[in-house]
Amino acid sequence: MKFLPFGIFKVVGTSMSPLYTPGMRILVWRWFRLLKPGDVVVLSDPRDGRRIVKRVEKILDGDLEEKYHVLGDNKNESTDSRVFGPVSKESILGKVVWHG
Amino acid sequence: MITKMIAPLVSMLPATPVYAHCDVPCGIYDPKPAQIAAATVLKMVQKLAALTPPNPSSTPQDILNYQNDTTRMIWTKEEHARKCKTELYILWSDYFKPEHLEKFPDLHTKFWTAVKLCSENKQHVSEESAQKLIAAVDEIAQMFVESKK
Repeated sequence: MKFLPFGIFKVVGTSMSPLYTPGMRILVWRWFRLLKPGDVVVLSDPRDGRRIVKRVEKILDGDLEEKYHVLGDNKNESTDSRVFGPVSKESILGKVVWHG
Repeated sequence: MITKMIAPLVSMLPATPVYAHCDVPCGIYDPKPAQIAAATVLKMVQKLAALTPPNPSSTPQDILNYQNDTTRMIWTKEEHARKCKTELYILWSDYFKPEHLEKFPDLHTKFWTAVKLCSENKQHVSEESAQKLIAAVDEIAQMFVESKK
């Protein structure tokens, strides 16, 4: 289903509470161009490739490319860039454009 | 309007799980084990101080009993000082996050002082050191409570 411009995902876990709750469905736009702080994105965890959902907190200018610092909304119960560091654009699979 | 059209579609189509995850299951962090361990250290120090040392009229059995009691109490003090340190390390490295530093600028100093007091209590039998350890761990517990607010 990678060829589609969008993907449908189901939230598992509480790191994006209270806005995104477990079981909630989200619509993700894959063909995004730009990201800005505050955007919620689906990305692959740089450590194990697992698909995760976090919010872009900051965009960092690197030498070659921009890097994104992502955080869970529920900071007390989230593993994010504070643990695995900033992520590259490649690892971001899409931007959340709608939630149920 | 668009939302009304999208919602049934999104709920019908298959969805892939996406993890709003946390490596460590939530709710397992608590300063209580460290507080109990620190209180046990103090209890052992007090019990050791209350023991009657052997005297010239002591029988060999009295001496053995005394040695057994001191060994057990010192071992317990040692073990709980070690446990206290381990529990503090878990809170320090895993529970507290960079943003907590804004709220508690002396967080690192508080932990450093507390873990050093664990070592001090292993090295000595001192009620003063044990009381200091309890106070240091209580301060961390207070930070933990405030971090949840």
